[in-house]
Amino acid sequence: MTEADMRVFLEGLLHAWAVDGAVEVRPLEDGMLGRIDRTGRAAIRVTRRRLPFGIAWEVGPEDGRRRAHPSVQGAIRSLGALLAPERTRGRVVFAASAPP
Amino acid sequence: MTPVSVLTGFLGSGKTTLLAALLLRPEFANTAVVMNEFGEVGLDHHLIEAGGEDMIALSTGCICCAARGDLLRAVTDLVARRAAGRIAFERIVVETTGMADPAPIVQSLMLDPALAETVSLGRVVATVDALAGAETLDDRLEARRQAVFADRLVVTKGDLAGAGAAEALARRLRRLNPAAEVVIGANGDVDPAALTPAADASQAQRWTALLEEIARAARHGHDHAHHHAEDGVVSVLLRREAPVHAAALPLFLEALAETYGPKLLRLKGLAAIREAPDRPAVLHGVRHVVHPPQWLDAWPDADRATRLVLIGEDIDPDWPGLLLDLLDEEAGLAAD
Repeated sequence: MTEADMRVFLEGLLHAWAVDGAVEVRPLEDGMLGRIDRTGRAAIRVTRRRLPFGIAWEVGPEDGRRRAHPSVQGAIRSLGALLAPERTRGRVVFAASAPP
Repeated sequence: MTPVSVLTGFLGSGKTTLLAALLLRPEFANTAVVMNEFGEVGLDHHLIEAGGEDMIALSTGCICCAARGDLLRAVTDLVARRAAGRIAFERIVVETTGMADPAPIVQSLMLDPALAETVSLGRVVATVDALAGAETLDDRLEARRQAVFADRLVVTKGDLAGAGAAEALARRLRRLNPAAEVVIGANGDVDPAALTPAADASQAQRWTALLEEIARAARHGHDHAHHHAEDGVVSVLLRREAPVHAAALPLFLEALAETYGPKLLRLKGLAAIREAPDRPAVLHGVRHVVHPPQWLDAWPDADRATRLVLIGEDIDPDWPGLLLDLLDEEAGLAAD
């Protein structure tokens, strides 16, 4: 994942959840840091690090508690809870009927 | 399996005219019809000339909203009456109201375990009026949702609007929903095969239709931008050359559902799986309800790339592909 990818990733989430915010991304020694700035609200910090045991995501307000996730899927859930808690989420359900 | 097809289309777009004409064709003999009787006046009901005892009219409101239970009961009732030998039919057509969102209707049909034994999803067909359809697509989100959701689009009233107008609308519909087959009809004169699978169609034949849809979307993606938006309703083609780890696939579906919720209307396509390179997985979903991936015996052509068509609202064209890349990388690290 490049820094440009991280920007597309975070901006795509803001677009999907209709959240206004500006995204900045900068490199870290072992990964990258994304920062989502929202007017009048605490910025959100997202890091993605490549560690010896795999990928680690960390999501949280810049001035508050952060959550760690081993997968992008968990990072999306955390970001959704912070940025758009009222959004309608979906959970995959497998169909009973035969496919078309 | 009895195919259940859904006929949708905006108010006045010619759904009932099309259905009435088709029901007179020998290919549509033995068709049971479930339709919506919206409000006190069951006007649509009286326009149908055929159907007789095999027709059930719902009277509790729009079947996409309050009366989804009624729809399931109606289909269940038809199946039960057939099992009892009281009626005979080979396919079911559900006609929605003009304002209906077809997604929850199809979702209901997909999820019902009792019906799963006897019925399968047929096609979702949307009518779009060549006279007023362009304006309706401009003004009404319901009409755009119906058009992007459909497997087949029928441009109606082509005889009244003229060939130029009908062709222009057909081109717009192909841009809006590149996977769908678009046909132009007049007075219900449409090839029945375009609207519902043959009652005796094998599973392989039904897959063929789905694969054709994906191929159509892929060709369109080569010719044009891979993303078309009309006020937030988009069709996105995701193409990925490298096969994905099997573990990444369910995570991808979960992440899409988590992110887009009800904004994701449909997903269909072929996935190349690293652990089974010679057998593509067919994916098909409506909103967050997906059929378990089906494995084809072989690739349908020389192209072995993953090709997924995502249809929904506010989907960033590059985001789903990036998400799949991220999940695949993580699945690869976990597997190593």
